[in-house]
Amino acid sequence: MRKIRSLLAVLACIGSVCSGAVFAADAPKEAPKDIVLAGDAKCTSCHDEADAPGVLHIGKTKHGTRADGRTPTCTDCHGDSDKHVTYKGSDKPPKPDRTFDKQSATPVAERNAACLSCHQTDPKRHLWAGSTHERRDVACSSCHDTHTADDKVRDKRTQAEVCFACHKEQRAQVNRPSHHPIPEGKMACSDCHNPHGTTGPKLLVKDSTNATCYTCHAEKRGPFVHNHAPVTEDCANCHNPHGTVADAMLKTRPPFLCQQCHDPANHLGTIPGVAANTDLSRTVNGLATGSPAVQNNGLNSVGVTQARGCLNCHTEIHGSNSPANASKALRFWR
Amino acid sequence: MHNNRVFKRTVLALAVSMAFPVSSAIAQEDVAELISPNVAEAGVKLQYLDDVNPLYRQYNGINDDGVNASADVKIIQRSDAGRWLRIEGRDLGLRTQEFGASLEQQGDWKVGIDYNQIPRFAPFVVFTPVTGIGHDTLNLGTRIDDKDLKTERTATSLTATKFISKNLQANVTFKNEDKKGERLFGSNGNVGGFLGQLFTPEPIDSNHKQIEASIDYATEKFYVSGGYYGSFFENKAGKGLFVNYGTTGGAGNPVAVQGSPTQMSPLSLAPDNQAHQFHIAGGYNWSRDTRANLKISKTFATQDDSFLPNSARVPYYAGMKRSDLGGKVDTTNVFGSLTSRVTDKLNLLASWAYEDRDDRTPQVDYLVDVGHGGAILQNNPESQKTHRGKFEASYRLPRGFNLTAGYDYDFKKYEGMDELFRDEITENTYRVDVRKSLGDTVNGSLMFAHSERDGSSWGTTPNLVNDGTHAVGLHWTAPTQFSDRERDKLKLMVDWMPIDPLSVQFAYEYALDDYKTRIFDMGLNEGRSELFSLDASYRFNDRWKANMWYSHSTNDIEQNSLNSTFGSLCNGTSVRNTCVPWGADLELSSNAFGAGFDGQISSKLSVGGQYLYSRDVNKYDISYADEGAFASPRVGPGFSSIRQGAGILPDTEYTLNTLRLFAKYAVTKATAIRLDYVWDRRELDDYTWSSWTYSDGTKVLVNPDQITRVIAVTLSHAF
Repeated sequence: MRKIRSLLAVLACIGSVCSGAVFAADAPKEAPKDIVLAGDAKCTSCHDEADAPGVLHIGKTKHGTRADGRTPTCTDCHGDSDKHVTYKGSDKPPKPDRTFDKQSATPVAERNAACLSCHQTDPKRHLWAGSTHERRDVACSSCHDTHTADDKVRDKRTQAEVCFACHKEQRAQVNRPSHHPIPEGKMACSDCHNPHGTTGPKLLVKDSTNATCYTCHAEKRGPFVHNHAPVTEDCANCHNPHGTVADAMLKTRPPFLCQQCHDPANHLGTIPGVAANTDLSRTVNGLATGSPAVQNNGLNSVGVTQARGCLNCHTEIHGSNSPANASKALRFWR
Repeated sequence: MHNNRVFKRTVLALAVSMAFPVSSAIAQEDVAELISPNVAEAGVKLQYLDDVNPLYRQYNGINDDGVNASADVKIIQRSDAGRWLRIEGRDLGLRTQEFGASLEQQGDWKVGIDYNQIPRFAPFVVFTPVTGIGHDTLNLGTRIDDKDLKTERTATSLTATKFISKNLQANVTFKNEDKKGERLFGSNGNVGGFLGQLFTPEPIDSNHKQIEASIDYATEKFYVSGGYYGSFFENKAGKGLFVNYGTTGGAGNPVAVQGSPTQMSPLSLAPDNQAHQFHIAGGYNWSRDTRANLKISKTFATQDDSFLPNSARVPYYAGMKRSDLGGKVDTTNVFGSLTSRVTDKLNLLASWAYEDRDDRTPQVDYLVDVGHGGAILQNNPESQKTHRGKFEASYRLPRGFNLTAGYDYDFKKYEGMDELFRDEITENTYRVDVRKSLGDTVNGSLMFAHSERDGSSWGTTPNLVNDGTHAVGLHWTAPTQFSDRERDKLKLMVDWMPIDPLSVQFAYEYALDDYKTRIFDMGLNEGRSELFSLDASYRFNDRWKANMWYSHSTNDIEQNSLNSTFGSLCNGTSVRNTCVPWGADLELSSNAFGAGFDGQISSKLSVGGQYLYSRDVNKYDISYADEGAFASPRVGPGFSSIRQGAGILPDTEYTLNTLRLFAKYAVTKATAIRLDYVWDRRELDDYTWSSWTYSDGTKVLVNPDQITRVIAVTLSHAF
């Protein structure tokens, strides 16, 4: 390292001599020029392309658009940082007034205040104050990288990776066979959640769970002639939208799910069973059936357990709009 | 940051540039490239799939093995005046293709258009004689064909934003989405004691238009906004699905016969509906540390799609004169919050959310419930009011610690719902958490919450004897969302950065739900979940980094029911009247592991890889009660109402293994070649479709071991 410095020093001298700089020693020293942001020379005179190219990448972003008079300069976010700038020692200078790295000593609220000084007026961030993430000390920089054009959390193909840094359970769930197309990059967490604060539960983008689901599943809105109470109340009563092993993102597969609410009277408490363990040719009394037994007939439990389970018959489980004078419509059969 | 500021590299670069003017130009060019967002690049991708598997293809959109071609394009231009042009296309040529374009004068206005296709293939293959799939009339053919069920969404969005003044902003978004295809549905064919399930795929052909407009005035001190959201759903698939096969009558015949429609035909399809929402909102900063927010919205939803006409298959009740439901739901939402930093150390939050869902649909007589006492029944509009309140205080402790205590209040009031339930439910949650989130090698948080939920008295009493109208077992179960519950939650998260390039994260979560049942422990009794996860990432140098993670979770549910038959007295006097209590312990155990790396072998060659392993095992432990007030279980021929073959369920297991590798080589500064390899194996051992045949002969096949290999070559060029 020392050799490199010596070489650079010699090179600098040669350069200076060759360019006649030594004869201009008395000339006024040219102030460093800004590279990206107005007034950034204070920082980029050191943090240039050779020192930290990533710093200059802010020029690729909206923050780096000088034509927009609202864009900040380095010190708007990092503070004046005079001690950092004027440090003369040979060791590491003190850190800037505000830093945003993972080990930053700047309080989260202060870090976020730097962002909110502009972004609080953004309609999607009006409810940041009091939101779960704000209350849990999540820094804007925990999710966003302001110095890059490709902010991972703003790309639906990579956003979930950022969210999964904290939401571990959901990371496992999205890889289950029944899931929304998040791993495939066709949906993002932010399609349903606004991490900056909302009026709905669980930071959902709409006022309620159902209102959020209806933005894509409008056919479930109803109302119907025959409404199903848990459907009307909250889709999450039965579904886990992050992913399940059971089909249709059901929290538990039928008939167990249905039996958590429905009375055991009549056939509703039927003990589940599968065809592989059932002698399909015999009745409950062990007698051969008088006709070719259909495997999922009324004499065994297969019909409430396999395929769609209870929904094999109760097809219209989200609500039936059949006006028919028929009990089966009331019970979501038609 | 360099250690010796005397040798500022910029100065050195300046000196070098003075000595070698050419290098100065190169440096300037490099800087320009570093700070310019301008990009114009296109890529062509050829990917070869050796085998298309139902689970892999589910959302990937590729349903043909062999070579599939697609293109990507990306153009970003920013002028010196701050005008942005963005054009981006991904997967062009595939069913997953998407395209977006926008023009923006930063800080002034923006217009954009987006087009997006989302396919979904059913994760199985169907072999069926049913014809007419995708249409509103199904018939039974004689030839069995294989069929892929799929739906495809095609969405186009238009957006416009305008800063009318520095503080006044207007936004409009319009989205038009079509969804077409078919999905598994099912219906019942019931005759002669046979309950035959029929394969009746639902036709999907719908259009959903959404428009959202808002105007927002915001300053540092306050904001006010108002807006409109409209949703218009149209089902073009029809009002009913006609199933022209099913029951025949007479023993010895198969259940499904063409020309003899199932009694359930036609099945009703989703009706059109509309919703209009208006909102106003505002916020005010009382001081630098105190802020208040308020939002009020009102939604008017209607559903007045005309009914299926009165016919032999859809017989109207004699007194029912309506031609549509006349559905009308008005919903009012109010949200208010107040946050205040009372002192440097004490921070308070209070918030309240209210929803009044008022179902104003007219109630008329629709049917006579012959099977259940002959009562004349109406439609069942369901209204509910919800209150969600939150109060929280955070106090900053020494050494970077923060202590938060909170109280959450949830209240629901139901109107018009089935008399089985309760009118009111209240849940109180008390929580406390400690966190440390200031720069150090160890940060983290620990949270504990305890909730108690109960409600008003039940609308009914459990039925213990059969009175001729009501069966034994009625009103025994507390539906999950209505039952008393105690919930405990614990969450621990630790971030550890022992050395600069290494970051380790540990998380542990535990939750216990204890449900109070109505009688005889019927319904959901208990739920437990536990999660453990460990993450680590390491940055070897500026060129190489790697990460890995592991998580293990378990979920347990304990629930009880009573095996019965229709109209049983449950007094043990006969097979029909023998009812057997039983319980199920449902366990889900999940293990997931991921690892990845990225690196640059040289300035031209970069490589990377990811491996994902996920395994979920469901166990269903079913046990019969040996004794009880209502049964003397005598399982076996001639003595029990337990259906033959019941109670033994195999485990279900799902295992995912995916390996992804890539290498990218920069042929020139502008041209690159990328090679991708994917090895994907999914194993599914699930009884859902095993040995299952629909009564019309349809079979659903899920390959238990699916391996897909993909090799892709991408050529990209920057212009």
